[in-house]
Amino acid sequence: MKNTLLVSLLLTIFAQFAFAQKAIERKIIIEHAQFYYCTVNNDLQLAELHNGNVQQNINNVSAYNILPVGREISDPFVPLCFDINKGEMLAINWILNSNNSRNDALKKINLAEAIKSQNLNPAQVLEQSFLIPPIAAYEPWQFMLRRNNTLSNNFFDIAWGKDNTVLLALCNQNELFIWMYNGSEWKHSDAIPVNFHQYFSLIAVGTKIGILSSEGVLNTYSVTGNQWKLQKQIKYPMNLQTSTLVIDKDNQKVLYLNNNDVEQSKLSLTQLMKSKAKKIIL
Amino acid sequence: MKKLLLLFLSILLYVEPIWAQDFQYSISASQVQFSGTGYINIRQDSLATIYTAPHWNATGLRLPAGFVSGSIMKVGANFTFNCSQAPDSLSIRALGSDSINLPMQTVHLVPSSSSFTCTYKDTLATKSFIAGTVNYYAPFNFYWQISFDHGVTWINADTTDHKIYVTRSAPMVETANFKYFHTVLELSCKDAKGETTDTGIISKCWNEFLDHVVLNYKGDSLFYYKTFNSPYVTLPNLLRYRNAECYTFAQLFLALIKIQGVVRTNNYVYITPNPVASPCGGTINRFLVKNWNFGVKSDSVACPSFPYKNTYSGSYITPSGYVFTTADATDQVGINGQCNNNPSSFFNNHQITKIDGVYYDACYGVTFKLLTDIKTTAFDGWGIQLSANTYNFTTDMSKDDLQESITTW
Repeated sequence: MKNTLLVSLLLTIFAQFAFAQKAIERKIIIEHAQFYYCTVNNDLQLAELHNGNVQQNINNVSAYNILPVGREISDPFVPLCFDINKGEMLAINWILNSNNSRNDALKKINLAEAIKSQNLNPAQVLEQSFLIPPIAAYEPWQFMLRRNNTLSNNFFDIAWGKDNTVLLALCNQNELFIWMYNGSEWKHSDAIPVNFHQYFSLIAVGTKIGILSSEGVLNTYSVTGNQWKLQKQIKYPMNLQTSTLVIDKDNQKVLYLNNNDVEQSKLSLTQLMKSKAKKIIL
Repeated sequence: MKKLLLLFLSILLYVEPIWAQDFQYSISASQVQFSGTGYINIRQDSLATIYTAPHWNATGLRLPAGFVSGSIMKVGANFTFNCSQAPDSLSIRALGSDSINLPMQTVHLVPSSSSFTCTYKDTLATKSFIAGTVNYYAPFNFYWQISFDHGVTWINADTTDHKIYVTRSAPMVETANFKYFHTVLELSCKDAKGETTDTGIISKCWNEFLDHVVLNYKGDSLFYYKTFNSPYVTLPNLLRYRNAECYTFAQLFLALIKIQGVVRTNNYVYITPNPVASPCGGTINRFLVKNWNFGVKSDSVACPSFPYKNTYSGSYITPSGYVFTTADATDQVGINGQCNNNPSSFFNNHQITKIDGVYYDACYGVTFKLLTDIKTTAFDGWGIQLSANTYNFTTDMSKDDLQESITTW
């Protein structure tokens, strides 16, 4: 009887959603000629990892693996915050659950192990999401709350930096802080005034770090010691709501695709990128 | 004189039948629909689809209609008229509740199989709903009448009954989780009927949560943790699955006032222990809601500040309760939740609302003036995780406090 009722319920939910096309959360990541992207089950809030070869059409990948990370369904909308590097997913597990600690939200997941453990039912995966230890306490979040615990235009994202550092960008009340964690301590930029009303995306390629706003404005930063410096600002003719980023780690490139082109594509990802993707230069 | 009077009466009685219809007939409403500038698109609870016209039909369809106070509803109806010799047209009107009537309209009878149909076109009622006031009609009746002599005499035709919700002001704009759900309108308008002010609406809507029985529009219970491991955290899912976590009851309470156009920002409060480090390591990240029983202090030597220890294997939570391998702290029946006298009570966080300086906990139907009141009134312990598959607890509530992060829902 243990979990039977909940499992049946959860499987029913999954069956209902199995054939509905869901939106890609933020980006497609390419690594070692494999693509990875996530959708989210809105009832369970859990991420669904889709992957395949770049010579495949991403829309032909129907199977997915449920991951023990996710994001809540709320306003304002913040899509899943994640990045993948060398088979390890870094994510902010922002699931709303009375057992899930926001202070333990920063997770690292070995994708090969996560895929292997797919014998877990969704209820168990959900429980795993708040039992997996974090990579670090979420000091940026606590710092933000100490500054102001009233959340307004509160958006965030995470990315792998150079040499496996963790980069995190967090804004609240029109103040953005970019954080870096080297495995033992956090450092952060000074407050960067911003005027975000929708989510942004954090992009890192090599030593270059970019904040791409919802309206397509890219601010690129360099960091030396504790000094964060804005290098340049470029406006791209896109917005995050109607575009999907492509982080090509094999070629150290960042591109974007129009969501309609992605959803209607009958091409392989490689062909789609060649014909439709536009570059973003950090 | 008497003879003159008798003669006059005879003439009257003789003449009268010529003017009156002398055929046998029956008339009944076949459908009714509502619309208008103040019309609110009400959504079905389970699938969030919007109810569409007709709102009433002769075969049993009964959908509610919603309007903003001060607006005038538009009503249309179809009728079936059975008669061997029907006139070309007749007049229809309706007398409504609160004297909100439908004016006379001449309708043409159209042959249809072995009978006739006629349509009372969508028409504005004769007066508006009282402005600035919540109302709840259960039922709102239309007494339909027909006339064969252009409104000189009226004959009762049929009665249709409807459920109509009237909100005090225009509902706040829908969002991902706040929608004009049937149950939201049902509870809000029923509870706050007659109210005109924000404070009156808030107070009356809050009453919904005091007796720990919250039902949807059909009378089904909305459970706070019907199963201990319910994964449902949004209002749509509370209404759909009727088994949900704290966030959903906070959202429900806010929805009941937002639907009336009551605006309150910074109303949604997420509370969790301050991540205070314990002397044994780890940070405090759990709390126990009353009642828990504390027995042996298994870890009184290893961790005297958090001496009560529970262990588990794999998972400690099942649909029916907590399953610990060893347990110094055991869950007891304590503070009643909505439709549940022993809900889940071991948490990292909780969601409540804050309106006009008062904390409202809709899960338990209680209010607090200060954040610090919550731990003293409602908690039995703080928890930490020192190692995998264990939790340690203390009953010393002074070891930590709650932190809050505030958003606007």
